[in-house]
Amino acid sequence: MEAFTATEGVLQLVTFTLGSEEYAVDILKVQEINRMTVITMVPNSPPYVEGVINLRGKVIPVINLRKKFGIAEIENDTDARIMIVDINGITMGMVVDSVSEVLRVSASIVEATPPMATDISTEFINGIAKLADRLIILLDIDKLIEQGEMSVF
Amino acid sequence: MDEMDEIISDFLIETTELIEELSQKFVELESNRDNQALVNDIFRSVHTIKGASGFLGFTQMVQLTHITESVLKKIKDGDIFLAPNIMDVILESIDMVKVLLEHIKQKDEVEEDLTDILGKLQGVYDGAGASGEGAKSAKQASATPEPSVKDDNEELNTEIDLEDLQSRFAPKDEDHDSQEPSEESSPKHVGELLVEDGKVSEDDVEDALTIQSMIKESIDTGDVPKVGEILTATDKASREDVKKVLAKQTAPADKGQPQQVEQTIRVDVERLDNVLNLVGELVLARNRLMKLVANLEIKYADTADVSHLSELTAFINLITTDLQLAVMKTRMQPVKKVFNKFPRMVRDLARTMKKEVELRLVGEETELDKSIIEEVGDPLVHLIRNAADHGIELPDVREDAGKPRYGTVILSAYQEGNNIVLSIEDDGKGIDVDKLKEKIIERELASHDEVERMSNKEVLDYIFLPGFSMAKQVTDVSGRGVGMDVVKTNITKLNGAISIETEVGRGTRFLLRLPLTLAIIQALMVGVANEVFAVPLSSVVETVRLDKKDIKTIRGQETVFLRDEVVPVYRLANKFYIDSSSSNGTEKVYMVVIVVNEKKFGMMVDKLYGQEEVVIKSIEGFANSSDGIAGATITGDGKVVLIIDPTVIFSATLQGHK
Repeated sequence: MEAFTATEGVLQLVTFTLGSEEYAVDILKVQEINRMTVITMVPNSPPYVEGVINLRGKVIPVINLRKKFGIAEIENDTDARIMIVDINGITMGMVVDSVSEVLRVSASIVEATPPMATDISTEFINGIAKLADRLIILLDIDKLIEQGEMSVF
Repeated sequence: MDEMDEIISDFLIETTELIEELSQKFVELESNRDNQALVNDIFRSVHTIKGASGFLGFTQMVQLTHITESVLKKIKDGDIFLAPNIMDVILESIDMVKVLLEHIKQKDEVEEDLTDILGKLQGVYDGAGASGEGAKSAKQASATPEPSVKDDNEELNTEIDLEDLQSRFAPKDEDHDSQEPSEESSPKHVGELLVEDGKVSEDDVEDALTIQSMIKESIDTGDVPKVGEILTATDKASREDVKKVLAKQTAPADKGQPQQVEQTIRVDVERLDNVLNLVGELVLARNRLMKLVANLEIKYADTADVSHLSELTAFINLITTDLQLAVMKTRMQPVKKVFNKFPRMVRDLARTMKKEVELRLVGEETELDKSIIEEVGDPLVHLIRNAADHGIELPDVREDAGKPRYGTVILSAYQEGNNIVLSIEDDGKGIDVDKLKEKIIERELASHDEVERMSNKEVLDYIFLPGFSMAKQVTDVSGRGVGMDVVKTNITKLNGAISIETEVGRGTRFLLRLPLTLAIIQALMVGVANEVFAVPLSSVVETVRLDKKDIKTIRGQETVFLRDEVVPVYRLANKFYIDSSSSNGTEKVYMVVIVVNEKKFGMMVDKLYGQEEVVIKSIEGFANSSDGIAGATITGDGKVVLIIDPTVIFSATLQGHK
């Protein structure tokens, strides 16, 4: 569970949606959540890289999780957000359909990833939090982009 | 432990600086052996290093510096004459100190074998007794003429003259501390200086001296009139002239005074970069603010608040510009930092090639951005080595050509508008343009007719072609061009330009024009489909508007005839896989002509937005610019615009053709 920090058995998560699924990342990985802005495309970059944005004078790359996870693309509506996260020490944006809430869950309700749970490969899934009426997929975002991939940019 | 690390890192920084200075001081000392102040200075530096190393327990360093110090002590005392071979040993020991320093830096605990250098130093030290006599006699020989001169013109001598005259001619200056003339550099006499300045003739001075001695004989007590007075009294020289000369006379004495200690603090570069980034953001925010205010001014022209706002914005604009400049300045460093290593290099080079080369440094205090300072060293090494190696002839050859035996290489730096110009000038044999032309034809780089039509400048530009200078050419065309393409590429990378001036038999001059800073560049904003890109203006030659039907396809390559020149055209949209089908309907397109490695390329774009000053920002996580993106910038409206790197885009194309 090194991708998530549990304080006295409680995980603090930021949850967001992509398509019909609900995902979560550790709150400590999230710097801020922004509305959609103009994204400048970067030529010759991997397809899931949406482009770069201006984060208060810093130019940071933005990845599209729908593309990365192979979920059909949609036109971003007003709910769409760019989550600014720290991936392996690099500040990056992630485009998500919407950001839901900050959630405190007990570490005990997190179960190991069952095989074939989703259509994304399981290496960057840390586990599944089972709540009363919903399932939340916990993402290990450090594994989202491999070190080797970074230099492809 | 941390504290210790800090002390060691301070030691490393200080010692590295001392060593850098030392190399230069030694070379200076070699050409000016009687400079006692310089010897003392060097001695002190080595002593400092020894002391600090001893304290920190770097035994090898202590061993080495101890004996070096002992040798220097003997030189200081005049027991050893500083012959070139002795200088070689000392410089070698300084090199070893550098090696040891590197080990300390790496913390690799490697011990160097010091026996060789220690033996050599000991040899020099012991040899002092034997060769010391020769040294002493040499010293005496050089010293002898001085006293005799002094004796002859006792009455002309400075000490009393100076004070006296000054109190008479410039009474206000009475409390001026007259420098005690140091023995090794006694100031020139008033008469001599006046003659030098062409104010009086030598005969006049002779006359004045005769009068002076006559008066001296007649009145045997003190108050003998001074030469200056006699000259003014006999109307040979004006009082102003004498005063001027007196001022000059005191000037050299000032040199010996210790320099005022610079008031500086060390700041981590990272912190400076951080400040620079913040200022960059401020600049961008300012740009946006100004845009907004301009809009407001149109909308609410007569409102008092708006006019106050625009006043305030103008003020903020001013402050921001000043702040930006001030922060840039904190990153500036004197070129001295790079220049310092060259005297040593030229000295060693001259010794190995048995040439006599003097390197003169001009404008060392000129300042350049830190990042440029770091990058410009290698190209300069190349150019200076070339100048000393291929430019300057052997002493005998030079003498036959009616030139002084020693060649001169002048390395200078000065500011010219928004650029810093570095010039490397030698008085060697120059580049034979005709021979170069033959070479160009021989290597089939251009036809005979083409070469004939070329200007000298165009011919000289061939030097920068990769692989142009081949080994066999070294003898033919003075060998210039070895690695010149590297020099050119490096300078281009810094958004700089390089040019050559040469005259056969008279010498060659390379001019490097560099921007003051790398953080801000002039760029041409171009549009492809809906995307905007910035092209560094330094690589743009011109922009042309074309009819689509003017583009011809030759062997699958789109080309354009531009004033009798065939220029290959590439679509930026294709290079970057941008869907530009929307703009395909128009009949007119724009072509940005770009030069990469002396070759012209046309880059087809849909729109030209104009020229803008842009702040270069790196993109987080983007490791390299292999895909032709040099960085990004943020425009006035807050959008990110990518800066393209034409060198990468088109050099890939170049290789593709080979």
